[in-house]
Amino acid sequence: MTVFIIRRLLQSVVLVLVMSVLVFLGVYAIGNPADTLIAPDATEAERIAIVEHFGLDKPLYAQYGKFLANALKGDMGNSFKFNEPALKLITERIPATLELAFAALFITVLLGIPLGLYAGFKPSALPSKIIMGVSAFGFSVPVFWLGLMMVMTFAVILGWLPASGRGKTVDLFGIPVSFLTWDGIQHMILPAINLSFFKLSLIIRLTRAGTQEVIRSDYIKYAKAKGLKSSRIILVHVLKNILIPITTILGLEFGRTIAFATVTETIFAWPGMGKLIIDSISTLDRPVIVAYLMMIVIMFIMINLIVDIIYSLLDPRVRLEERA
Amino acid sequence: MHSFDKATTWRKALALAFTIVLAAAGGLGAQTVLKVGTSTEPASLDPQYSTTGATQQASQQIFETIVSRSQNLRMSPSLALSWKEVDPLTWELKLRQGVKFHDGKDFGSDDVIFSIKRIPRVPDSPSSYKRNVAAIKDVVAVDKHTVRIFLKTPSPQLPIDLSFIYVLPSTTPENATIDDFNKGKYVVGTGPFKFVEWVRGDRFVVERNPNYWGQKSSFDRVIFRPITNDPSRVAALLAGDVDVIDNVSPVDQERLRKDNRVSLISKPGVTMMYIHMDSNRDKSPYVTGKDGKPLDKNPLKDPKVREALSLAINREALVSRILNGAAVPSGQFVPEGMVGYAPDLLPEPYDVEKAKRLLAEAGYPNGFSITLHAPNDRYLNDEQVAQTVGQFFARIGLDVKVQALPYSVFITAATKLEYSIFLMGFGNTTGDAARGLTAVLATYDASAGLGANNRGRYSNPDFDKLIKAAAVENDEEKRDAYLQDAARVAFKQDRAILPLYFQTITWAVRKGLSYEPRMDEYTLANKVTIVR
Repeated sequence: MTVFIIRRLLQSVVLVLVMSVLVFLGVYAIGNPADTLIAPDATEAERIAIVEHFGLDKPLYAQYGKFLANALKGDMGNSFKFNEPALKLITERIPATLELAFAALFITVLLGIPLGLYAGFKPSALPSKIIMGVSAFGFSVPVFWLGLMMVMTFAVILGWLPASGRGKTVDLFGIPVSFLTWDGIQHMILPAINLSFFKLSLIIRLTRAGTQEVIRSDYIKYAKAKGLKSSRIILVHVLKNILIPITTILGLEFGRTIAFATVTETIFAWPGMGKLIIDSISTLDRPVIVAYLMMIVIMFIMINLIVDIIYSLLDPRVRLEERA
Repeated sequence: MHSFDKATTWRKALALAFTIVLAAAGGLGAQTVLKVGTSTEPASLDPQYSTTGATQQASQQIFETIVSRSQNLRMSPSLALSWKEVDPLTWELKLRQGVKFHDGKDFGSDDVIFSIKRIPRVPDSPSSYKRNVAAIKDVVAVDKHTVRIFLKTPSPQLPIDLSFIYVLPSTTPENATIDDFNKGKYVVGTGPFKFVEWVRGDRFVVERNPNYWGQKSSFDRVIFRPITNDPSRVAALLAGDVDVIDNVSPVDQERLRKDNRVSLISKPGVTMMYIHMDSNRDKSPYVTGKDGKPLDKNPLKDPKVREALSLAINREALVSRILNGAAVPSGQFVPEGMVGYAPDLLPEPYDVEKAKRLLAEAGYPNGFSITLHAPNDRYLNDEQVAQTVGQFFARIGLDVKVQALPYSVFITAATKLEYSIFLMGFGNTTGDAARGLTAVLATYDASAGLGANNRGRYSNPDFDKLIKAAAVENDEEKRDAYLQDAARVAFKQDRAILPLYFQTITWAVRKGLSYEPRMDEYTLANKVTIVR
C-alpha cells in the first residue's frame, strides 16, 4: 500500500506541473491581465509601471520560470488585484465551500441511497415512480434555474428561508462553521439542496439499478430461501454489493462539488471559493487562478486515493498494489 | 371541530405572546440595522490602495477625503473647509476644527500631510492614487489647522485630486500591511461609521460613529453584503434579507416598479457609452468592401463617414427599447452640470436619408463591410446594444457583423488596436470633462500620459491645444470654455467618437426608506434615511 501511495503522489506532481503550464498558456491566450486590472482611466505611465511590477512585460517562459521558482519555495505569488497571497485568499474561503459540499453530500447519501433502494425493490409502486420522475427532473434542469426558483418560492413568496448569504457562523477549532447555529442552518438549507439535487438524482438511479441487478442474483435468492429477515438482506447483502460503484461516483462528485460549486455559490451569494475563482477569471488574476486550479488537481488526486483505499476496505478482493 | 377551534385559540395566544416579547425586546435598546446588498466588493480596506469604485465605496463609509464630492460630483468642503490659490504653485487649505478620528485622536494638519505623503508609498496597486498627488511637490503645516501645498506645475485640478485623498491618522504605522488593514487593524477614519468587521465575500459591517461632525446616520449598524448575481440581489430585497440594493438591472426594474413593497431611485450616472472608430490608419483590420476585398483606404478616416454612422443611430429608440429607459442619450462626454459641458452639443438626431447622402458623398454609395466589436459582460446590456447599433448601420447600407466577447479578451485586443469599430464606456468620476477628453481623445503619447484610452488613435492638433490649455488654466470659467471648445472640435467638427448615452444607475429600497442617489454610483449608508 505504501508503494502505491508514493507512486500516486509522484504522479500528482507531474499532473500539477502540467496544469500550471496549461493555465499560464490559457491566461496568456485570453488576454493581458494589465488591461483588465488597471483602472480604465489610468495614464500610460501608471500602466507601464504596473506591467513591469507584475513582470507582464517579460516573455511568457520567463514569467513561468519565476513562478515555478517561487512555487517550489511554497509561494504561489500575490494576487494581482488584492495584493495578498493567492493561497491565503483561497484558504480563507475553503471552509465555506467545504461545509456546503459536505452538507450536499450528506443530503445525497442520506436520501439518495434509501430512496434508490426502495425504488429498486418496488419498481412498480407509485412512490417509486414519483422518485424516478423527480430524479429525471433533477438530471435535466439547470442548476441556476432551479436555484432561482427555490429562492423565489421559499424566500420571496413563502418567506420561510433567507434568500442568500451564509448567516451566523461560530468558530469550531478556529474554523468558522454555520451548521452549529440555527441561523446558519437556515441559510444553508437552500444552497445545499440546490447543490445536491443533481448528485441525489444520480445516486438514486445508481442505487436503483444496482439493487435491481443484485436482487436477481443467486445469493439473494438463497438468503431469502434461508429465511433471512429482509432488513438483513438489504443492509448486508444488497447494500454491500452495490456500494462500490456508488463510492466511486460519490468520491468524484464530491470533488466536482468543491471545485465547481460556482453556480450555486453565485446564486446564493455563498462566500466560498467558487465566487472567488469566477471573479479572478474575469479579471485574469493569474496567481489566484493558477493556485486554485493546482489545489483542485491535488484535491482530485487525494479523493481518488481515498476512494481506492475505501474500495479495498469494502471489497477484500481489491488489492491496491495490483491496481496501481 | 371543537379541538380545531382550541388549536386556533392557542396559536393566537402564542402569537400574541411572541409579539409582546418582540415588542419588549424592541423597546429595550434594539439596534436599528441597515442591510445593503451590493453588486461589488472592495479590493481592500486600505483607503489608499485602489481607486476602483467598489473599494472607494467602502472607504467612503469610514474615511473622509480632504475635499468631498457631492452627489453631483461638485467639490464641497469636507475635512478642508476652504482651499485657495496663493500663487499658481501654492495652495492653502483651512482645515475643519474639532474633528476626531474613531480612536479619539484629534484631526489636524499632520494627518493631511501624512495622508498625502503616504500615497506614493502604498505598494503594488493596479489602480493607484499616485496620479492624484503627482503634481504635489511638498505639503507643510502653517498651523494646526492650516496646510500649504506646493506644486511642481500649476494644477487647477488640485481640489478634484484632493477629493480622492482619504485621510488616515498620522499615527498609522509606516509598515502597516494590506493584511493589517483588511483585518481592520488600522481602519480608523473620521467618517460617519466605524469599522466592525469584514469577512471577504460575506459581509462588511460598520457601526455609527457617535462623534461624527456631520449628519449622523439613522442606523446604529450597517451590514453590506456582496450579492454579485443580479436576480439574487433582487430576491434578497424581496425576501426582506436586505433593505437596499444597488445596480438594479433594466429587466428587474420593470418588475420592481410594479411591486409596492419597494421603491426605485434612479439617477443618470457618469458612465458614457460610445462607439470608438479606428480613425487614423490607412488600413483597418475589419473594414472591407462588400465583396470581401480590402478597400484602398480606410473609410473611418473620413469625418463624413463617421457623421453618417452617427446619424444612422436612433439613440432614443436604443435607450427606450434596449435599455428599458435606463439611460439618457448623449452628444458629448459629460452630462449637464459638469465642468466642460457644452450646451449646444445635443445628441445627434436620427436621420437615415442624410446619412446615406453623406456616405455617397464620401464615395461609398453602396456602403462597405465592417465588424463591430463589443464586450458582453461589462456594461448594461452591452451585447444587445452592439447588436442594435449594428442593425442601425445596416439600414444605411453597410454589411455589419457584430462580435461580442468577454471584457478580458475584448479590452486586450482593443488596446492592441486590433479592431476597427467598437462599443466602449468611460466613467467621468471626477465630475469634469478633462479626464475623459484627455484619456480617450488626446493624441496618443505614452510619455506625456495623453490618450491612454485612445484606442482609435484620433488625433487633431487643435483639440490637443485646447486640452493642454485647459490643463494649466486656473480660471474656472476660462477652463470651462477651453473644455467646451475641445468638445465642439471632437464631437461636432470631427465626430471623433460617437457618444451614445449615459447609463442610469438605479437603487431599490424597501418602502419606508429613501436614498440620495449619486452620480458616481456609490451606495453610501449615511445617505439612506428613514421616511415615515
